[in-house]
Amino acid sequence: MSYPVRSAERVGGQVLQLFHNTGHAMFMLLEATWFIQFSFGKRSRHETVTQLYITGIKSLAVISVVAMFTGMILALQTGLELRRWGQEEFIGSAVAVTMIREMGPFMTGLIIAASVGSAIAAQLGTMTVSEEIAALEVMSINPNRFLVMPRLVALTLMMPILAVYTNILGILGGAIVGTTQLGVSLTSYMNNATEFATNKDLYVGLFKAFIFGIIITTVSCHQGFMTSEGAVGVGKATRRSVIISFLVILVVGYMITRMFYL
Amino acid sequence: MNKFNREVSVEILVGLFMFIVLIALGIFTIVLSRNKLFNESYQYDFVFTEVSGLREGDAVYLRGMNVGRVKQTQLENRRVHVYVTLDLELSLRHGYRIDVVDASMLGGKYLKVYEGPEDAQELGDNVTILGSKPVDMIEEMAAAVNGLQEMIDAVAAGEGTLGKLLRDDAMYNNMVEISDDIKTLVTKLEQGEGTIGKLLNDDTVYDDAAAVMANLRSVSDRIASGEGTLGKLLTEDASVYDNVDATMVAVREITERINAGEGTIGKLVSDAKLYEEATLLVEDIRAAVDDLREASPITSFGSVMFGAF
Repeated sequence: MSYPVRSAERVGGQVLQLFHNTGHAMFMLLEATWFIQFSFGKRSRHETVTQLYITGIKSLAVISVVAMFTGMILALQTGLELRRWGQEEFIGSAVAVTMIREMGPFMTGLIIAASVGSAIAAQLGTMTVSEEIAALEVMSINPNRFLVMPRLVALTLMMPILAVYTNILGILGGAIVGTTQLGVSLTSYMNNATEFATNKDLYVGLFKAFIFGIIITTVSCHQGFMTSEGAVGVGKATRRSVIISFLVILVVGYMITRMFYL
Repeated sequence: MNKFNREVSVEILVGLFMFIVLIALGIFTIVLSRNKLFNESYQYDFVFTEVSGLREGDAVYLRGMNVGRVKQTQLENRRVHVYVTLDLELSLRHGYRIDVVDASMLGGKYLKVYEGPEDAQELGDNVTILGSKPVDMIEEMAAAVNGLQEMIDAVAAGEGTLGKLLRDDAMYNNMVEISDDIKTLVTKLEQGEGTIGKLLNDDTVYDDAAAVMANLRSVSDRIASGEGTLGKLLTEDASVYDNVDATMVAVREITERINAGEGTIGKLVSDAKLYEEATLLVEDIRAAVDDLREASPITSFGSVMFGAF
């Protein structure tokens, strides 16, 4: 078999694999969505609350630091440029609008994808390679209901909540830099911060966070279920879940922004 | 901690966190909606022919203060209706203005409300509030640039004083001639020609002036040292003054006596009878002289006739 034919066969195989994976992930997501009605039922409640706790409370520390410093960096960078024109008073607007529209949901998505998403992929990957998933199926327990649905509920609920938290801390971080480094009064900063941002910005940002939650759950669970090759495979699945989540978050984030603002 | 308690505490923690953030989201929403929940707001509908890109959420200023926001803009019947929500009630009077103003050179608009002169009559209810046609800053600048370009073209074409200054040699030639004339004049002055030239070059006038000044100084020195009449008048004791004063006193006494009709001159001045008598005397003398003049030939003839004998 000639090289071009082999190359075409390989590319074709990868494309088919991509379609297969995408289709599998979508069916998994649809099935998990269908099971959401049982999320706070007697059998799923504990797992759902646990996932809410892991996603929300356990991530607070890292999200707090990242959000605070994101706001501080934004304030410092924009403030230094605006100072050249004597307009540093407007850093409140720049930080608030940037955080609420984009950076809040985006940074939250990245942190959750890197922390919670990778953990989901690793956990489900380990269960897959140790055939726990197969055992569940043998016991007629649907893995999508038992494992995916609680994570889907937890991430889709918690992501907008965490995005609001990130927005607040980011704006506060900007206020700290604005008042201590750039000589902007807190009143002026807060007035400007609420001057230009709108409810549309806030809710489009929360919608993004909600979509990012679905993306992280789908990608991580799917990568976990697709794990093979033992411990090495778990590592690969974890890495792939983070990379794919990052890429999809970026692309979908752009598309949502374009859909609402252009 | 048993499993049940741990589950309950996890649930409480998750619920508390969600509750707190949802409250924060609610506050965020209220702040960003810029609605003052506990303050009364006033709705107005301003009608414009054009709004130049005024948008929902743009600020409304009254006397330089932000008093509200544009809630909605809507095109109806070839007019733009701008619905605004204000924190206070407007008191519009005849002569009011509602302008769409550029917020900055970079863009953005706001509504500027002028309620009208203080002494003007207030608008009635249900009156359509009309906004002024906005001034487009870009168009204004383009017009200014066009005007400037036309001016530059005119100057370049040699039109007007400035254009002639740049294009026409006549003024340059005139200035060259003036320069030559000034040069000639200066040369003549240097050579001592004419009065000014002599004044500049000849020392005679100066010497004469110096001599005059020396003489004046000598005279003033002599006066100061009490020489001559003037000097004595200035420097000697008060005897001259006393004499003049005594003379003036005597003259005043005489004058007072004359005014009082004392003495001959006084009577002459104040008594009309003497005047009349004098007048009659003069008339008598004139009559006597006339008689004498008429009798003179006869007298002469008689003298001649009787003198012969």
